[in-house]
Amino acid sequence: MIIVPFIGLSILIHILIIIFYSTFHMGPSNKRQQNRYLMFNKFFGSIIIIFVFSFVLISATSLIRLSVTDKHSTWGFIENSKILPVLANDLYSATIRVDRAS
Amino acid sequence: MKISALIPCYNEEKNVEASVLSCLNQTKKFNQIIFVNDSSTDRTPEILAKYADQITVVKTPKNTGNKSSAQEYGLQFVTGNIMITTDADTVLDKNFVSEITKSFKNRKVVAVAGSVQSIAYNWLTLCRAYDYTIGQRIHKTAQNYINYIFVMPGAASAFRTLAFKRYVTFDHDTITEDLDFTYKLHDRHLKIIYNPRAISYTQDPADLKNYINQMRRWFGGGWQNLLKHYGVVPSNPIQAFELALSYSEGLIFSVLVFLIPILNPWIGLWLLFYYFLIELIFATWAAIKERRPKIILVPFPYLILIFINAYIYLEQFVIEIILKRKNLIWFKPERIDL
Repeated sequence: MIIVPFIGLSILIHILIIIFYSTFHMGPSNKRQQNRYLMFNKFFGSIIIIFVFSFVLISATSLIRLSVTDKHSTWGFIENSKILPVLANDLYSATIRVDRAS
Repeated sequence: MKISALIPCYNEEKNVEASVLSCLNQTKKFNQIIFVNDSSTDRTPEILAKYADQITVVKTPKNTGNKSSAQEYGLQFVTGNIMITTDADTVLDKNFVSEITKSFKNRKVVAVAGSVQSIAYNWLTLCRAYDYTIGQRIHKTAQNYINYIFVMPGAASAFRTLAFKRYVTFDHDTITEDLDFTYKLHDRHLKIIYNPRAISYTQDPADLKNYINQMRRWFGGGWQNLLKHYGVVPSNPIQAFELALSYSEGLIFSVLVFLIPILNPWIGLWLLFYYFLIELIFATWAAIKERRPKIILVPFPYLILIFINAYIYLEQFVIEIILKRKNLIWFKPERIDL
């Protein structure tokens, strides 16, 4: 079953796990989690969830910031083109006409 | 070790015979093969009747409407201490039972996830074959090392019957029952392993409409199960890591797939090109591993599928998590002749 529609961080980490286990000739773990560590595990698990989510979110935010500040950004294109002044001028003229008419 | 097969079927006249034969032609024989006829209205009962002396056919009183209810009905007839669950559109490799038996020799093992391969049909099933290769040869192999299998595939799973009856049970409150089973086993800290040599060949959607419906079920079911079991997610640090990584990456990058091209078409194109190159490397590797050279072409349709997948991922997130409109309608893809 597909859980993530992308190839990215997740696949990289899983490849590293395989390389690590293959390099050190370690077989699949035969351990079962012990209930007596449940409280510690829940605390540690929650920290991991926050860390992983924050890491992915920060990466995404950096990419968004780069996209917005880059010279090819859509906003930059609109700002640098003559579209905005023309639009503003048209809007201003239209407002004046409405004011005079009223 | 007594091995039973539990196979629900509804209107499977095109495939059920191939499924029966694959069960009968195992190198290590099943002790019991149960086909649950979910009140089919086509020729499925006649086909099953031809093999009545070799298999057990049980019929539900009325059509249950989904796979897990039919499985639940059939469970009462299971006598084996190991139960293999698969689908009627799936063909088991001749060594499937033998491989599953080997895995259960480890007494700690409670469930075994087999390997699923897509039956070749067209470009869409080729894409699915590629997905399975990445999902199983990389993700599931790594998960097996760290002792956390994310999902037992519905088409190729095996359980110790007693543990299944005691800890798993059927709730019918999610649309992906296989994922629900897996969460429950993890919740009990029971051991699940992956056996890549226990192979089943399954039929995947062959057109875009069926593909989209199946992805809706898979992604929607994924969110339903996360919501249902969120309390147990942090109880195991490895589980917390796997799930946080999968779901946060899937969600955030689904947003980015649409947002970046709007904010900056140039960077959007570069990212798409980078994605294509990465896919090409993995597709080449998958083509060699699966000995299916055509898999190398998969990155081309994936340039479209990435947007479809991302859209469905977000759509199901909104429906299941934000609006909490749980969809429990079972989707069955249209079948093609095996």
